[in-house]
Amino acid sequence: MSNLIVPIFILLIILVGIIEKKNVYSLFIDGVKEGVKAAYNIFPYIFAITIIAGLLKDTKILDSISIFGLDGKILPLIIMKPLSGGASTSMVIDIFKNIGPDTFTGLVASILMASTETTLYVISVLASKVKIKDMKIVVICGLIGDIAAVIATIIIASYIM
Amino acid sequence: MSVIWCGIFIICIIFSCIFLEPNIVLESITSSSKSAIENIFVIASMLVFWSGMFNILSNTKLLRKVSKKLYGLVSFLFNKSEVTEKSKEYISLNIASNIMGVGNAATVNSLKGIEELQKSNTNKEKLNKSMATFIVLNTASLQVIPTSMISLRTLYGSSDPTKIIIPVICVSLISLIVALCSLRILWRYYE
Repeated sequence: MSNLIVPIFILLIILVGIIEKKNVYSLFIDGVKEGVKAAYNIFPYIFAITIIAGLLKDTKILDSISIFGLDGKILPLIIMKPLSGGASTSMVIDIFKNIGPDTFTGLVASILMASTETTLYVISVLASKVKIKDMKIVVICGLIGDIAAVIATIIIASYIM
Repeated sequence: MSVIWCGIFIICIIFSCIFLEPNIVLESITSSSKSAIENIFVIASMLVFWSGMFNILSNTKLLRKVSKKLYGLVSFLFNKSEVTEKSKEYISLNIASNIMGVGNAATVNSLKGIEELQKSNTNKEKLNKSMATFIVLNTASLQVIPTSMISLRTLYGSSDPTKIIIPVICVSLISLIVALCSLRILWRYYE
């Protein structure tokens, strides 16, 4: 079912364009032009985030710390998730491989990974679009939301375990 | 952002110079730069595609009708004087694509949405309340069915991969509500 959503959505867009007698092709081209510009503009921000996410991962600085009685692999994930989707996905895979998806650690990792967003990454991409430097308020609120997610995940996971 | 970025950089360099091989720093930067370039091609390719698609959609009358209904659901979050007709469309499209789990489409609409909100912003150097709300909405994931995580769990031999659906919905709702409430509370200090 869910793999039908995207193709049908695309079909719908094209059909609606044809029914309303729009020049679908040239509208698509205009959109692509804007998309290329947007991709060009967000690149430096993605680059900066990827560098520090890589450093955090490669120096294994976080692996040495362990909290909440969980395996030492959860804290690195908690810190990585707001920064990078790619790096945190590889951490989850690492947990699944070495500890297993049905363990407490595996369950916490799954729920946490799926229920939170890459907060700092999202903020830096959106900030790049409007060129506002002072993003303090949304960084704080986004991270408070992430902390709430961590606490809720641990409580719920220990309840359903 | 600057504080977080510099902080992580400094800690990692000092840590690896004292406890590990200093070479790790350069190796890590080299490999991350490479993967950043690879990532941007992956992200850009889908971003460009959805940007084209949504340009068709945003020129149709259908969008206006659908967005009015969706926007009605979230209108209590936004300040009416700060939101234009155009930004309403992108806000609703953004929420719809997030819920459907089409992440790339959501990115396009969030970029468009924030741009439209900036146009009606009186002080271009500062976020207004609707812009902040919109960003916080995007930092808290609204996804209803975590399809990619379920397939990842299946791949690594979970006996019950869909066990996480209800917890994920609960946790993402809690985190969204907490983030939006803290924005409401902290906003007066920001102003």
